[in-house]
Amino acid sequence: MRVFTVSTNGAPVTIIMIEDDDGHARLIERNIRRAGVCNEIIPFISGESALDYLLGADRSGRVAVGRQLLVLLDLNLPDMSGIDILVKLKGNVHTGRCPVIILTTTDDQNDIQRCYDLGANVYVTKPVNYESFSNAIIQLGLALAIMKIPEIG
Amino acid sequence: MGPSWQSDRALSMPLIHSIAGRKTIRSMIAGGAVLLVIVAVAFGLVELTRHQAVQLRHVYDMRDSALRIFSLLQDAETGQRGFLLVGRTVYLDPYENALRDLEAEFERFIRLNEADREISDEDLRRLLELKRDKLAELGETLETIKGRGRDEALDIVKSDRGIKIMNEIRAQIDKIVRVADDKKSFLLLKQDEIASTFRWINIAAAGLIVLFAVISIRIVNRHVRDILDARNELDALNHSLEQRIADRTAELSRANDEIQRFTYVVTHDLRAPLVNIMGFASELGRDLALVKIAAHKIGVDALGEEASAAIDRDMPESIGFIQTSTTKMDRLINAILKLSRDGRRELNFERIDMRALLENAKAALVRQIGEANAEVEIAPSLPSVVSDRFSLEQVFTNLLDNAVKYLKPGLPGRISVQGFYEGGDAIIFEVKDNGRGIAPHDQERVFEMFRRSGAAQDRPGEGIGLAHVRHALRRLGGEISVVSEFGQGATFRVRIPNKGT
Repeated sequence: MRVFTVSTNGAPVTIIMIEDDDGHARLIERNIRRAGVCNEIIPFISGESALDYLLGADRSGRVAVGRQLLVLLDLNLPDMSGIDILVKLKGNVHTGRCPVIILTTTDDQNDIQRCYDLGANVYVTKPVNYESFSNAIIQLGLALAIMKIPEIG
Repeated sequence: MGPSWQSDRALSMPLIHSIAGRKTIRSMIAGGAVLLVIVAVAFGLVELTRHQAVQLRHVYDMRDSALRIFSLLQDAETGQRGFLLVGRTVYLDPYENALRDLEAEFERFIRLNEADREISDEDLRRLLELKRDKLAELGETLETIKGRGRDEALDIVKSDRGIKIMNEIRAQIDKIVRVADDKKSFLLLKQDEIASTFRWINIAAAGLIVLFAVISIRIVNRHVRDILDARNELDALNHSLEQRIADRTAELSRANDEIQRFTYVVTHDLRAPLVNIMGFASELGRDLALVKIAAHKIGVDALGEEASAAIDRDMPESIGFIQTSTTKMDRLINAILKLSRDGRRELNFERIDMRALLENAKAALVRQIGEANAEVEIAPSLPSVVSDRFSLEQVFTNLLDNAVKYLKPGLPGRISVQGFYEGGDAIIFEVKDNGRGIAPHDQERVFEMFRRSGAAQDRPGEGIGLAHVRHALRRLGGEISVVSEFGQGATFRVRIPNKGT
């Protein structure tokens, strides 16, 4: 199995996984690893803690400057909607270009359209059937290998 | 304002209506009767007045006759005196004329008096005697002039015999005139009384007419007001009924929305842990495969009998059960999600060629039909309906699928579909099979979610199809029922409202 680290200008990209279900988070991580992705994955189980990390306590986004980030975002979070997080990230001057992959169970057309309208880069539905789920995440991980991630300015 | 009061009031309306009507009629009859009485009284009074006028004329006639008698007697006397003075026969003309007219006048007077006998027979006789005496005196005088000369005749006059008779005649005539005048005064006074009575009756009649008019107007007014009140009340009732219906409908649709939302949220939330169970079971299976390889390398002897059995038999079996159960649970959740989604789907009514729709449904099941060695016969002509195409496709695909699925083993399946109008407002489609049938106690159960007929348990299925069919048909305003005998096939009867013409 080919093992790789997604990086930008030599600096490794950090994968931010915002997922309230620990089990899901573990299954996603296992399958991403199976695709050979070696990047650091930082999991967050709530919207607030994820925003603290991404935009800082002051929500200015300055803390993110110089980082290379990729966000995996679940829409169903206990404290806020994933869409709110998407709006905040895409609306921020610093994190606006940061790629956001929506990874959720909802396959509602309205949600999908709305997310793309708000600037989501990829929308992936978590299949309930585990084989499909596993395949989807592995393929997503493989896609990361060819993705170009910008440095946050 | 309670509902019972409203209904009492509503019930009493026709009664009020008839009372007001009866009152109006009664007042009209009373008014008419009063008017008739007034007309009769007026007629009587007019008759009385006419009678009075006749009597009055009679009195005038009598008075006139009496005075004329006197005047004629005076004329006769004037002729006698003229002849006596001048001696020319031409002066006798008034005398002779008077003599002639007097008889007629007396006859007229007697005739007039016969009606009421105002003048007593005695007075009349006296007057006739006096006339006779006067005429005798006059005749005697004239005979004397002709025979014995004017001087002797003058002596007769000078005897005052003539003047005495004349004075007495005047007294008698005066008496008659007085009687006539008295009677005239009496009659005129009576006439005045009648006129006055008439006036008062007229005033009273006018008053009564006004009174009846006022009463009638008030009754009609009250009647109209009652009707208006009733109408307003009816409007209010209608309005409140509409309001209540609207409220109830809003409540129901709110409740329905809530159920739909609830269903969606529940199924959605159930899915998250299910993904974990399925995911980790698969992970376990994957890891177990690795462990199995390692265990085989170590060998059963080193591993021990029990551990080996666990790795080779029990653990794969446990994982297998977890996986089949979760797969089934996933199907159930998907079915509920689908129901919830279909429940929210907007219906699109259009005219549907039912034969084409059923042929398509049959074509979609061609593999199952072939495997079951069945024959599906769709009636060549079926009524077209105006309904939601997607829903009906689901309904008939499900029904045909069921018919094929639950055939009797060993017996060639015969499935038929026909359709017909039921009255003007519904169209019936019947899907009939010669399959295993449904026992009476299962006939309602088969339409319930996750419930299946006892005889269907050998076939795969979650018990969703018919529940979904009923749900879809009810959304269209239709219904489904089944007629069956266990072992004798089943006929599913679909009723769809006939919306188009």
